[in-house]
Amino acid sequence: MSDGLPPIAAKIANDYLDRLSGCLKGMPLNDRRELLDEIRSHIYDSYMNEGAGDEVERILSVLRRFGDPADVVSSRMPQAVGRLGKGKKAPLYILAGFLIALFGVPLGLGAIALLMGLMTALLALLIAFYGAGVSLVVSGFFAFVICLIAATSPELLTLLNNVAGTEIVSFGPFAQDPQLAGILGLIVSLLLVGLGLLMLWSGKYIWRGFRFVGLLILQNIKKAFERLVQSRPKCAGVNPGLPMNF
Amino acid sequence: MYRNEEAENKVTQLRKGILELAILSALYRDTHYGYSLVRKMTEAGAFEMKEGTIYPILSRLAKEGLVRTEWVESRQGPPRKYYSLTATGRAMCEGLTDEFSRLVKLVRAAGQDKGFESEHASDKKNINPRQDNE
Repeated sequence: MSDGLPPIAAKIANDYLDRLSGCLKGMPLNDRRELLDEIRSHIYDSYMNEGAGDEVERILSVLRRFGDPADVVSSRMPQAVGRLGKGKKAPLYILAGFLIALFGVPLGLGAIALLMGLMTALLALLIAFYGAGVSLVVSGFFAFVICLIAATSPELLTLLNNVAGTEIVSFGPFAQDPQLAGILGLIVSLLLVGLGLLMLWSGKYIWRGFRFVGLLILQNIKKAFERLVQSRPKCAGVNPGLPMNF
Repeated sequence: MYRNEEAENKVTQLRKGILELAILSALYRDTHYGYSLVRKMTEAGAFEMKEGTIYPILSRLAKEGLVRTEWVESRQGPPRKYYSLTATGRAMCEGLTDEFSRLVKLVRAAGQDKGFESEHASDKKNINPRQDNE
């Protein structure tokens, strides 16, 4: 803009904004641009209202009053950084670190294929695990009901076998003492239900792993996309997405 | 007035806490952009902090839905981002001002024997929005 700051003052202001931009790495690109635009406007107004003196003195005075970039980002960064750090996922980080170390996976675009494979495997494991958990709970429940009948009224089961004409319910070695079979069966069926419930409960850890890998993939895609949009590396230098002209 | 750095730190912390209310108060009747907000508070003699500290606060207020923002082209220089209070922001400002008045009364009552009221009476009008926006 031709009605902006004089060249030297503009250079100093741009250097300051570059430093600030470098401190805002964890912030979404649009928010970062908007904040820098806003501060650029502030610096311009402040400079225009700065009293006498040469342009260097004036712009330095403006920036001194504005404060260090750290003052501006201090209460913004915590929300942008550490999105992955929530919850107790230490074992999953170790797993991820192990995979990265073992396969030498760089966390760039190339890692996405491997991560997708890992995610598919985890998804299959998740479905199989939950399937096994549910079938244990269901079969345990039915076994519990039958064993309860065997323990309390074994004659009902004998009647059922007679009506059907074949041995639907077999007591095996406990044919002489179906009540004992029922009591033992109750214990076993309770164990089965307990095991199934334990599997369903512990399945959340696999689910967390699934989410973690999914998040890694998303982040990698986002980073790759940002790199394409910015077309230049590193935000410590001039951010090409920002027209740093006054 | 303050004998050591520790006391000055306490004053800075106190100011930071109150700055949010001061910003809401300044926006109670007028819309402002960042620089004009700073000017408003500097004129009132209330702003002795780095000017950049208001931006994280403004950002937080916007995220909380207490202020709305609008970019407006400037006749000279880059566009400006204007802030105004939402209905929620106005209600929040009124509630916080009342609470603040109660706290000031509490401190005054507690410090009456030190002559607190007479010494600091002039500070009050810098913070109350209804007195601030003439």
